Amino acid sequence: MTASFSPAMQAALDRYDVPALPDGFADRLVARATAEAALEPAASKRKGSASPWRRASRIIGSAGIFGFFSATAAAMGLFGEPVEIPVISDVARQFDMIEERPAIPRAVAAENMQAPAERETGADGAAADEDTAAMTASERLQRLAADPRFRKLTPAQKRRAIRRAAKRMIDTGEATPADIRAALSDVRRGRQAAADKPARRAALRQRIRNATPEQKARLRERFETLPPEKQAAIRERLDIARSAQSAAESDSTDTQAEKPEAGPVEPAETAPTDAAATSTVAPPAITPEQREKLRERYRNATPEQRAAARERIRARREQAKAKARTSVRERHTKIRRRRN
Amino acid sequence: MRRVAARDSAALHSIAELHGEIPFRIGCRMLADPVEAEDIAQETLLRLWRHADRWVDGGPGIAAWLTRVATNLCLDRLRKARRQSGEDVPERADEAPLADAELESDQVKQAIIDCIGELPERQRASVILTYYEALSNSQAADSMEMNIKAFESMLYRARGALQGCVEGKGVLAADIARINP
Repeated sequence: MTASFSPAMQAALDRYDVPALPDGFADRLVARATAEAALEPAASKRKGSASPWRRASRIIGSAGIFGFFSATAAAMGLFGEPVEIPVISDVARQFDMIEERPAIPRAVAAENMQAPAERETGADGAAADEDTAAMTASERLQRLAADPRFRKLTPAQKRRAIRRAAKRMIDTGEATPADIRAALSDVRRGRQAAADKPARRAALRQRIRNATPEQKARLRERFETLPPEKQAAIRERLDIARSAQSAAESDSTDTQAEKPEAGPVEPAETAPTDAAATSTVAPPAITPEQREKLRERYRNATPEQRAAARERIRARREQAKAKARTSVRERHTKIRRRRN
Repeated sequence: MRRVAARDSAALHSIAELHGEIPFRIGCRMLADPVEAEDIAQETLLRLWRHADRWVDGGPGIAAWLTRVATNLCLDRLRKARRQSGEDVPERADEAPLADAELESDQVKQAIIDCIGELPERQRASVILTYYEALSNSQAADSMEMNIKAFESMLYRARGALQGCVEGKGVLAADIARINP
């Protein structure tokens, strides 16, 4: 090695001497080594978190694991309704950890995607075809939207079905795109109107109730000018409304009848013994005169008859309650069945 | 080494007495600071103490291991100092009072210290290992974890740079002749 430098250079380099190792170096070293050995467990504990990469990877890993567990819990429905999370939900469903999705049969969706007339076959097929051919695009789409199976579809499926039906109509030349646009806006308007219907009907009822006798007379005149079918339909609707109202009234009468002095109730009439009388159909409406007569008969009845009447009323009410309970249970069962 | 692995402090003491000079010398010349050199020597021997249980017999030996570790520690420390200061490490001024008789000799020594200090870290290490520690090129290359060819090329450049620097200081011919008549 030394041969690489000239003698003069070597002589110069040799001038660079270093001091001797300080005294007590070995003792200091041994003292430091033994002190370190005593602190070793604590130091080894710190060693784990020394590397910033390791620390960062731990933080990221923990966050990832936390996210995964949260997503799994949400998919399994631990936070309420199960949330649909792409892969996790499918895996959980495979292992029967969560219920199947509410079944919306694709077959139904596919059927609805076809125009109703296309589904009809057999003897009525030709007639139905003629009937459908005569329908406008708007009527067809409305008919599709009114189909109960169409209502079961998800919004996305509904949109797809409508799009396909519209495309078919355009392809076959039955409608132009402008017709379809107009038809869709009709359908939308109809849906909006249907949504507002109950509120509007309630408002109308209220207005009729508050109408002056002259207004009522005018209404009656207008009613008589209507075609007979429309009159029949309106009458039918009014009957339904009236029977519902009288059912509500009879309920309140029953409540009063529990008290002996509340009013007369003829045991034979208010609580008939045959099964038909205790059927689920709402009791027929009674006129104020009839009600007065019943009250009179109850007043004149013996205490035993009154007690028997009260007993029958109680039994009838309990039956009604049981029926209500059953209907709630049935509804729950139906929901559960639909989910499965 | 087996005794060191068994945490025998007396064995460590004897190793420090026997081989402690090696890391200290390397540290002194690499860092031009005896205090830091002692720190390097201690750190090197402590590593030997800590890793003694992983020691494999039949290797290059304790001296070679200490040389290698001390060189790497010095290089790390120089790099760290450069990163922190953003420039080359300033050489520590020799604060010892100089006697008139030794003035010329010390001028040569100071020139050598300055020139070695001006070399890049790895070139400095290559000169120190091959000239002062008298290692062969291959041993020095091993210590610095380098390919032998790359090491030789680096050593050649280091020697040229050192020679040029010392000649540039004007201490080489006249002063050496005066010191060593």
